Amino acid sequence: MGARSTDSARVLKFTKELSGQMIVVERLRELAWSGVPPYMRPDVWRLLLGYAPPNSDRREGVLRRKRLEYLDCVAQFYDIPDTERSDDEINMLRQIAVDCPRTVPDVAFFQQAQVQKSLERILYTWAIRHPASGYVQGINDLVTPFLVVFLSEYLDGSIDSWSISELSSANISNIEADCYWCLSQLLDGMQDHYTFAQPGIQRLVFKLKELVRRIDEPVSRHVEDQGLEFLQFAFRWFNCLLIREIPFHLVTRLWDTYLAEGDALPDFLVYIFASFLLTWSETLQKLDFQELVMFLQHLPTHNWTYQELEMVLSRAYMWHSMFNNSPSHLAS
Amino acid sequence: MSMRRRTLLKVIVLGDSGVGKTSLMNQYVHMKFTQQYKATIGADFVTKELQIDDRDVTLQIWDTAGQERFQSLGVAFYRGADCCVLVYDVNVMKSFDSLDNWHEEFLKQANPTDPRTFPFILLGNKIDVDGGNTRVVSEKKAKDWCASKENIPYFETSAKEDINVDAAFHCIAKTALANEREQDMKQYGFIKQWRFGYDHYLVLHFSLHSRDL
Repeated sequence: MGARSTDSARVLKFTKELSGQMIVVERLRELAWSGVPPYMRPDVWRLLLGYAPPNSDRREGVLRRKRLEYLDCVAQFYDIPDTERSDDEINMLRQIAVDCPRTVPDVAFFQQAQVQKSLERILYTWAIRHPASGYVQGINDLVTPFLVVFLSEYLDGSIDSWSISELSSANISNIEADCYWCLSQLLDGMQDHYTFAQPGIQRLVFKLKELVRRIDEPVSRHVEDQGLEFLQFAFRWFNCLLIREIPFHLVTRLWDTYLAEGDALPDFLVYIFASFLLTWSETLQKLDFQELVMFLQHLPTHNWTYQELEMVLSRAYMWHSMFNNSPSHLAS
Repeated sequence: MSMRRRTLLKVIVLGDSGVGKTSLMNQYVHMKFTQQYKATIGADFVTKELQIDDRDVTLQIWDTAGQERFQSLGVAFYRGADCCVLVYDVNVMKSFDSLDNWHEEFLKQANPTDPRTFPFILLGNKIDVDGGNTRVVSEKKAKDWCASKENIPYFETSAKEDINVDAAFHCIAKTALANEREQDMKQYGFIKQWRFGYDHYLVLHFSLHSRDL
């Protein structure tokens, strides 16, 4: 558990913020940035993403309507025979079906057939409704934090003991709907990350390179001397929002900060990833090209706890305040 | 001080999603097979050291993502490649049909000096599945395709059962090495010396290299 997210004074503040009839989302963002107590996460995430309305009188009605809308979409797009799909749609469904069993394979829960089916429905429905990008590999990873958070409203204990077959189909479809809408909200802010040639990611990788150059010139120079391109390791970081690089049990904590950033997230990712990379500043400078690539593709984070992750986030916050408001600071 | 030079060869593995690129690489490098791979995003990287004709060689293998959307990344990964390995699944026709596209896209983005002689190798993977009963691409069909592309070497493999994996990668290394030598020759104008044998070339190359220091 993150020490800060469960400390009783903080829980009290969250309770207070969430109990009002009209929630002030900006205040919730400030609190959520440093971590949300796990049992409040489903409510807080729905609010931060603008899926649940801040007005408590309207909340239940809106969620009910959105969940029905998702069911309609599934019926209309997913639950149809292949003969009613275009070739492109069949290919997309095939690609999704290939990837679902390969999603977080190291966590046994995701190997349950019903979990993979849910994932497939969410992804295919999302892809059909977002034709500008369609499904792109890695988006399957992005559903998983939502899935575990919204499942935690129904299943107790650790994810290792969860069985999705304990849930009614009505509950499963509500959970899927929440995942679908939250994924949609999250990705609406980064549409060009997944369109043709992925210009959004290319742009952020370039910014990351520039930021690292300003913060840590020796690392930057060493990486360049070795002929390593940032795209060769940081592409996956942006494409999967770092899910692949840290232990799965820390991902929801990382996402508290992501979702608290809201519209500012894409630019803030650059700071988080620079901070993440420079965790190993000294090590990196000792490695040659081959060792660098191997190291960056298998970063030693297996034993990470909330502490290491929060260090990355705090440093990102600090650099963001230093550099973002004065773009030419340290430029010379 | 050893005068032996270790040769680095850059190999790119391409093919549709799910044909077993990552599995082949891991069987070759780590002698392991698992069903637990994640879909590759961008590209994964492994290395393998081996000897070819008494020469120390390091293969730097880039295992790329199979979805077409990532093809635009090619430039970052393909540049400077010494060999390109194309992989398809003998049980999935579409993965065979895509080979033309992968071949063409590679040449476009890697932009090798001589596209006609740039070394490719084709691997038909997953020959173990269902005892071959689900197979839809015949060996002949695959070999015909190879013949139409300047006689690309062809191997039928199973990453799962470790069939032909070593042989295929050995061929990849040899082909890449031959290509690298030829490129070096052309680059330094030593094409005639090549005929006197390999040792001669090594010396020349070494002196060139030391002049840079």
